[in-house]
Amino acid sequence: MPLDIKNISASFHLRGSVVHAVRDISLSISQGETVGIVGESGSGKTVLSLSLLRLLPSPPAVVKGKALFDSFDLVNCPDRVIRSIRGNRISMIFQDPLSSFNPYLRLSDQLTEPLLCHQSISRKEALQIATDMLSQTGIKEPHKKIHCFPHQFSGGMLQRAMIAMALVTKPGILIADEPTTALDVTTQAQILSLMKTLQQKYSMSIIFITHNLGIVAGFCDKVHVMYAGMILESAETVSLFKNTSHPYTKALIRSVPSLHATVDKLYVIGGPPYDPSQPLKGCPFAPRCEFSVAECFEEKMELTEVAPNHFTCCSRIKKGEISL
Amino acid sequence: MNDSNLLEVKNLSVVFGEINRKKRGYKAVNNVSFTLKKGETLGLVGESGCGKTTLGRTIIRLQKENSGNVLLNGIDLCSLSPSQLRPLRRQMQMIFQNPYSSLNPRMTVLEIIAEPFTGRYSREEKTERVSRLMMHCGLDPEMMRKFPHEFSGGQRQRIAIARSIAADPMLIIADEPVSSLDVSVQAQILNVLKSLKDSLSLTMLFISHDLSVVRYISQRVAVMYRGNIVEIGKTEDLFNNPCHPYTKALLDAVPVIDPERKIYQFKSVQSTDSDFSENSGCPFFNRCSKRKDECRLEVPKLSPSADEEGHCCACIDNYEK
Amino acid sequence: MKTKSINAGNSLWREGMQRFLHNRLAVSGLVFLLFMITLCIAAPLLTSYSYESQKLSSGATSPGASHLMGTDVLGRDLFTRVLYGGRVSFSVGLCATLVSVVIGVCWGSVAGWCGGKVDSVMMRIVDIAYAFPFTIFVIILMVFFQRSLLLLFMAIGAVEWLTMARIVRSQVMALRHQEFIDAAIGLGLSHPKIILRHILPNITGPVIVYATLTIPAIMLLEAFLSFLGLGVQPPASSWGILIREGTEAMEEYPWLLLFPGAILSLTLFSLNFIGDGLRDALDPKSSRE
Repeated sequence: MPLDIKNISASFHLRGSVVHAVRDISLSISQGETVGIVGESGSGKTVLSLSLLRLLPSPPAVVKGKALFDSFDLVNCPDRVIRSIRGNRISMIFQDPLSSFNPYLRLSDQLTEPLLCHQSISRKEALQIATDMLSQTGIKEPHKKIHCFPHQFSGGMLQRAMIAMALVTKPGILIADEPTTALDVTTQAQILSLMKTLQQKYSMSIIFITHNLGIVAGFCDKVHVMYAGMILESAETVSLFKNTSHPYTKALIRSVPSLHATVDKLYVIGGPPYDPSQPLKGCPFAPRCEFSVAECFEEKMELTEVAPNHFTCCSRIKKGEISL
Repeated sequence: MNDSNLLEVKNLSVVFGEINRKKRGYKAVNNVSFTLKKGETLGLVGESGCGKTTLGRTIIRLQKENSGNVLLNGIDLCSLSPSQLRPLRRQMQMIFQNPYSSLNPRMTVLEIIAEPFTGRYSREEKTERVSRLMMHCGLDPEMMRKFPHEFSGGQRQRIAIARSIAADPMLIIADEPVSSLDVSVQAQILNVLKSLKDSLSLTMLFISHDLSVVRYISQRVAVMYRGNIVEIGKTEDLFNNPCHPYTKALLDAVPVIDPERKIYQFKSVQSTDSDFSENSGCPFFNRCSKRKDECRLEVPKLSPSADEEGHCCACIDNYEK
Repeated sequence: MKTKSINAGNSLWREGMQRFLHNRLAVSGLVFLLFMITLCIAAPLLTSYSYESQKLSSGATSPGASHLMGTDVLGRDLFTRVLYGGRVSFSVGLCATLVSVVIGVCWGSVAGWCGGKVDSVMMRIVDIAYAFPFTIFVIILMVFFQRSLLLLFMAIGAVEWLTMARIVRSQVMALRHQEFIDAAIGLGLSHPKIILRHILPNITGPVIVYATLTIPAIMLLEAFLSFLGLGVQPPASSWGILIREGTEAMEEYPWLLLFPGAILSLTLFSLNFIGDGLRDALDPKSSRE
């Protein structure tokens, strides 16, 4: 198992109040696997990914739990260990490519930086590797383009450059936080295709964070659905969509307008959105769930297997009281 | 026939950066023409940079056009002076994409929504009207003295919608109103828009890059690419029988919830590196898998498709059918 | 149908003020400033001496029971002179700032809103005015017109508005492209109405902050001018004059420099802390987005 996340919790201690962004999450990622983490804004998916690499600002943020990666615990290991892992063995790419690059430095400086930082090679060798990686991401004339500045690239090309920068050290795990949200549909398709190709080439694992169920359906092997900082449902992709086992997942799927059918009215998830500063009792989705009963507000949240490799924490589904 | 056309756009062009005749600017909107009937919703779809927002802003006169006409109920807005235009502006309102910057942060919700009719009603009448508008859009009237930053993105967008219908407009241009919202909130706002549209018989131009959203809310759809309308037709016709290669590429690229259809097998559109070429022919030439030499000669005009009525396509391939 | 809603909103001002009150440095600055202003206003109640009555026989005496801060070479009570001098310094600071704010906001908002040629011309005028040597300008003013406090206010205000205009212009230009301004244009509002209702309320934050930071600059400027003999004329006192007189006598009678110097410095510190505190409190990035 390249990455084994055990009981990770992340909370923010602000003036007078505590915000629980991630509550007791456990999951694991195998070699070469693509794991999708799906959730809307406020679900805690980005906070979870940042806490894996200890990128959350430490005075307000408190992270507990373990993240085991190759005999190291990412949450509790010494600073120099996590620094040697970041950008080297675990890389991360973000949503907005333009703000991920330093506008004052050429791409050559920025793409070679991870190599020069983590490996003892010469500048010339580093530039060679970086140029090679840039060409693999589909950018034409890489030996010319690598000396350009970020603002000279379009959004799609810059995202490719960001992928190149993340993969230049051939990491074992790539964390992608909504990498295609800011891109056009056709560019998005190309970037996803590119990521798949490179993943197969370097047998990399990918943690793909998104709110788009359509991407998850076509791109990920396993999916975890997050809400209010907890995982409500985990399954292999096909199983998640065919045998949805949590009312929230079902509601999300129904809220998305269909490309191929005309409907009269879109399904809307009722109730107030989740408030992270309030203490949690029972299922966080219960106030908005059409199937909730009194017990839902009291129960202990536990992911239980209801089908091969398919976990849910909805007690009513577990007991077989409802079916979706 | 023409009486029911609320909006007529004729040969509209907007060029950015043209300093003199020597330096050719960038054609954000290139010779665009279409009509909108009363009560109809036309979806305008395209990727970023295709000019759809510029087109919307030009129609509503927030952007100056270089050539062409915009006729609202028969009146040519482009020929009016600013003072002649001002009283007519209320008849067309825009809903903006960003709910965080489209509301004045220093005004209460009451002041924002009541702005279209300030000075016309007494205070009680104003409050009464604003309450009604808020309820229409799914907002609690008790919140009318709060400020925009105290609301979520979805609620702010509802406030923006309430403001736009407060002016009692004939035409609403919605510029990506749900793009920055979560899926579940998006559904709520779309339902609000649809029910308002039906109850107030609004005419709407709905601009979006999201094909599924456009399909849900529009009766007709126009597809834009680099300033040109490349295909236009009834929603069902366009989605079921796309004619232009770009429309087909767009529809293929949308990730749908179907685990059997793997997104990473999609490969039919080429890289957009050399997108900004200066050729005078079809704007889609560089990326088209069906391109021919004739395509380089001139920009194809929208011509009716053989199969369906009102379905037009700007592709040489279509002429031959 | 209720006309008054129970839920009055929390405006950005109120949130900003709450943030300001949490900033200890800024609040202590505010407390000190208010204390000093109160002292200066209440001067006649606090001291029985007049700021100009001399007692040549006693000359300079060190601080003691009858004279809290001692007396100067002419036997004038220093405490009284500091308080009355404070009146001058504060009024110059506040009035000149007001003048600069009014001119600067008008100039900057017109330039920022109109853009294009109007903006170019207006800002070139500002650039040229910036290059103008200020001291010479004031000397010329003082020579041609009677030396008066009013003239001093206007002269300083006429110079300080330049930076205010630049700040306001850049704020207005940034706001002009915000979508709520487009919405206001789309409603058919006239340009002056848009500037008054939508633009000005949204730039008051930076304007207040800059104004608060301008006051100390102006007070220092007044002190400098008075030090040179160009500003307030004796026997009237201002902190600048006191510092000049103190500097001349500082070897023998150090308290003559220490007291006015310390008071001026502390006042400038508090104004700066308040200005910093306001900037942090009213910064739109800190407010909930």
